[in-house]
Amino acid sequence: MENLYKSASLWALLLIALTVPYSCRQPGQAKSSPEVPAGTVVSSFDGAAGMLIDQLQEQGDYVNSRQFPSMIKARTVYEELGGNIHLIDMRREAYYQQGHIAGAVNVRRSEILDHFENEILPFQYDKIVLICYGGHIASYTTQILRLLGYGNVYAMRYGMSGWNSDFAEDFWTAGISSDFQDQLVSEASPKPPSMYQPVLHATGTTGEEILYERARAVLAEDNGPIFIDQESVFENPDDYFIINFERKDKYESGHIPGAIRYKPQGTLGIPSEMSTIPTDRTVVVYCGTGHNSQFAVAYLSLFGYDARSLNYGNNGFMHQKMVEEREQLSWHPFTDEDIHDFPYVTGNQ
Amino acid sequence: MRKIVSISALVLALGMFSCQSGDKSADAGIRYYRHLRFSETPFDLYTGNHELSAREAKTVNHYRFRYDDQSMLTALEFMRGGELLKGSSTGASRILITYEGNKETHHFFDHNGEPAQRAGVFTAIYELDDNGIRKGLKFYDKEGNLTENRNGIAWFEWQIMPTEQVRENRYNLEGEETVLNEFCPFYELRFDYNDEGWVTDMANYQGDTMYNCTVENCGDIGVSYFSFKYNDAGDLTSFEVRSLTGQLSNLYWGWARFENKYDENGNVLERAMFDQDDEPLAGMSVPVTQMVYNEQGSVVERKNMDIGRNPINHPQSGISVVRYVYDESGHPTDTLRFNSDMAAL
Repeated sequence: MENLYKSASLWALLLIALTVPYSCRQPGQAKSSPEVPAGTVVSSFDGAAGMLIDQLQEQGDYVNSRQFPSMIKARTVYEELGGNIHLIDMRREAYYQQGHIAGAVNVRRSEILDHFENEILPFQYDKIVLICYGGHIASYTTQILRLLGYGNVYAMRYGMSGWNSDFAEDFWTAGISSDFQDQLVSEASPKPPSMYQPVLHATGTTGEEILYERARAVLAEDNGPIFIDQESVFENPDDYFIINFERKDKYESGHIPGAIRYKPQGTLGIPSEMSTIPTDRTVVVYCGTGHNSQFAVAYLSLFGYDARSLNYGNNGFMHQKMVEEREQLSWHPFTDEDIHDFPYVTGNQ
Repeated sequence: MRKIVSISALVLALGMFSCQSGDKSADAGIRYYRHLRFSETPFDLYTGNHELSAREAKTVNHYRFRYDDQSMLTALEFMRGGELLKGSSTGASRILITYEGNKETHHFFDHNGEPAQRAGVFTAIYELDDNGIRKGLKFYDKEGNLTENRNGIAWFEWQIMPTEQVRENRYNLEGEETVLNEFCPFYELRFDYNDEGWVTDMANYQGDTMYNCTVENCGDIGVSYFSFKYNDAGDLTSFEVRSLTGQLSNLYWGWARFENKYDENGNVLERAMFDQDDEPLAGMSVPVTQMVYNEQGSVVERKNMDIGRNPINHPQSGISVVRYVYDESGHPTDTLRFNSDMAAL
């Protein structure tokens, strides 16, 4: 009988030990271990991440829709000036003062939600266009706003760098480089098995609450870097989980050592694919220009990944190769053709 | 010009019943086909595939071609056993065609035989050149006013190029050149045909140069031309979308090519779809769809499969199998949906 009591007590302790951490956890709190057993495929997410992905799918699954990624060309914006369009310039005020598109208001990333919720009626506009230095911060922010349901938001491709040459010099023109194109490899790196559950820190108890909480967090000034530079990646590629977010033929023509190809359509919002991305390493995403990759980084950040976009994408480290293979692989190397001479105003006009 | 002459010859050939398996048809001015030949432009004549006898047509879904004593097509009907059916690939259960001078007029009817709209149009009038080849098409509403179809097109114009290509331009009511549709914003198209008169390529042109359509979110490299391949029976087996440099390029819907497999009756048994990496569709899309048909030629089951041909649920709808139920005449009466465990949804 004594052994029976001992045995029962041990089982009870074990049961308490197993139960307490879970019973105290709110839906939005992180799991203690992000990994799932080897050999299984993660077909859905647990806890807050599961609620978040369900919420996003109920709202139309933007990342798997035909609207993704919502970019707009500078020329289209120029042609629609004077129409029912709202322009938001996201750059620092000093840059805004030096020159901006007439009618654009200056709103920083951390203030964008307040602007949408308290200062404008977003759905009264046909289009809301986010504009930054090179299109990257605008892409990141557009992703979050689209996920929140603002279906009329677009990021202007190449930002002010594409609007007028006066703004390209310090950004896109300076950003293109061929410094690392001799370090590229062509052999494919395999995807890890499906084993990672995203780790989310959220206190919300519904999918909608978690979405808004996470959106505010990733748009905050102190959210951490959303970019990474070429030197950091090429000097220590093993420090990062590198995602090539491009076509297969472009990947095969040469990619960063260790980079793994993920499909722009068919990765985000799909647990079996996202669960192959480690949650315990910094994730670097790159594409041709750094625009699509910023959309991906914003989405991954929303799910708690430490994700960063390689600034200027392929243009930032293999520009000459892109020019040489432009016809063959339909690369989009940034050139003078992408810089327009559209008018701008200065100061607070 | 040789290929265009081939197309014209096809018109004549359709009328030369005495030269073609005359035992197939009981009536001199009538022919029956299970399917219509693939087409991407109303320039193309209606052409039947997989001919049936009059006896077979009593029990099998078919397109009935009726001709006058001049061998001119006067009616195209989708039916079985003399009864009109829904689901015609022309968009109308019956099309009656009249000819007057250089005009060829198409009137559309539904499965009840009532006048109906097709793609927002009540009447379509072709303009023919002196050789009887189509050179224009205008759309009209119920009151006989020029109108735009659901893609905003009021009329088409065609020209035979010295290259033997057919050039197509479209216009809206204001006379402005307009696009094929909102998802394929191509203005000028040029079509190539093989010696059988089957369309093999459809390409975007600007001026005299083939070009990439690079609309945002419609492929990342642009779309320039489409290629079509057929089996010996004339069934479309391959549909490919490519950029100016020949790379596969996704359409708006996220696929770049598909392959069809057919049974001996020309029914599509399987469609496998691939993206611009030439990899089976993944993510939120289903790569393989298989179909099952009844003896009458109606699809009775549609199944979602992975590339290994294992049943899968559609990632968004959760549907794996759809079953279609028909009445004795071939009219659809019910649609049943199941997941891969065959649990009803």
